[in-house]
Amino acid sequence: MTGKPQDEDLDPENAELGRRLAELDFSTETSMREPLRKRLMERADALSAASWRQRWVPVFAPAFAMAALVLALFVGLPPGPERGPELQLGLDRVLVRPPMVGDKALVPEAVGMVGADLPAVTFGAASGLDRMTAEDLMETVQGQEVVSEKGRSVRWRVGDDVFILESRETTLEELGGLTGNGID
Amino acid sequence: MQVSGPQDIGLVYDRFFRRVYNYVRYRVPDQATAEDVTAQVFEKVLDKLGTYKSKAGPFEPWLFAIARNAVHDHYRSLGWRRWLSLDAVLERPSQDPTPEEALAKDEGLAGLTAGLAKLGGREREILGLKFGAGLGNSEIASMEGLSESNVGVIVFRGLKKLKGIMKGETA
Repeated sequence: MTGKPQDEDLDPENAELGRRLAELDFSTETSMREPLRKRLMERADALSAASWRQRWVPVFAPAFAMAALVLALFVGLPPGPERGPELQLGLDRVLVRPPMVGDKALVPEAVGMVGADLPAVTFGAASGLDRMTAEDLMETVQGQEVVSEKGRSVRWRVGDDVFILESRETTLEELGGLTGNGID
Repeated sequence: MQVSGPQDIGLVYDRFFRRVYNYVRYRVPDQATAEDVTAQVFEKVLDKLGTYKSKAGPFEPWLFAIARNAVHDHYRSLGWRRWLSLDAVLERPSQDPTPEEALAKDEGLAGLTAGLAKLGGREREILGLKFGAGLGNSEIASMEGLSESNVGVIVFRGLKKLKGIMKGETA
C-alpha cells in the first residue's frame, strides 16, 4: 500500500505489528475518490488556462503595442485620433482610437436634444441594440450630418455638437458618456 | 517525482490519494472529517504544484507536509488546543463507521485500529506518517524537526504501547 517497506527501521519484535499497520487501508471506506478527482481536474484546467494568460499576455501585449506604434509611424498615421475642424464646435468627445474597417459599433437610431442643451441618443427598437460596421453607420444615421473617412472616425453633428464614434465595440455606457446623457 | 504545474494533479492524485487519506485517517476520528481534510489537502497541493521545485527536496515530504498542516488547520479551526483525547475519540458521536467498525470483519485489524485510537497525538502523528503515509524515518525526522533516532524511538514506543493496549483488550 505504501511506497516503502515499513519494517526498515523496526526491530523484529515490532516488525509484524508494523506490517499489519502498513496493511491498514482506510481509503476503501470512502466513495469520494472519483468525485474529488473530477473536481480537481476541472480546477486544474482552469488554473492552467489562467496561468497561460498570466504568462503570455504581459509578454505579447507590449510587443504588439510597440509593433502597432512602429507600423503607424511608418505608414504615416497619426498616433492619436484625428481631430477635424468641426471638433472646435460645441461638445467635443473623443474615444480612445479610430475605428477600423470591419469594426462593430452600436448604432444610434436617432440623435436629438433633450432639454436646453442635453444631447440624447436613442437606440433601435426598444432596447434592441444594433451593431454595424463603421461604413454602415454612415448610411444608417439619418437626418444628421455625418462626416467620416473610411477606416477612421465616424462623426455626426447635432446643431453645434459633434459626436464621434471611435471604438471597436462602443458600449451603451460609452455612448452615454459620449453624449453626456445618462442612458439606462 | 517530476511535477511542473496544475496539469500534473491527476498523476499526483492517482499515486498518493490512498496514502494521504490513510495518513489523515490516522489523525482524525471519523470518515467524514477524513474526507474533508483530504479534499483540502489536494486542493492545496493543486494550488501549490507550480511552486514545487524538485531541487529543493523530494516530493513526498513536501506533499505530506501539506497534509500535516491541513490536519493542524482542521484542529485549529475547531479551536482545539490539544490533541484529541482518547475519550473524545471513543465517545464522539458519528454516523460514519469508525476505523474499528470499518474493519470489524477482521477481528485482528479491529483490535489494531481500536488500539491506535488510544495512542497519544504525537504517537499517532508519527505512526500515521510512517505507516499511513509510508514515509521513512529520515523523511519524518526532517518534517517534524526531530532526529532520525528520535523518530525511531517514538515509533518503537508507540508500537510497544499499541501492543500492550491490544493485549490488555484481548486479555
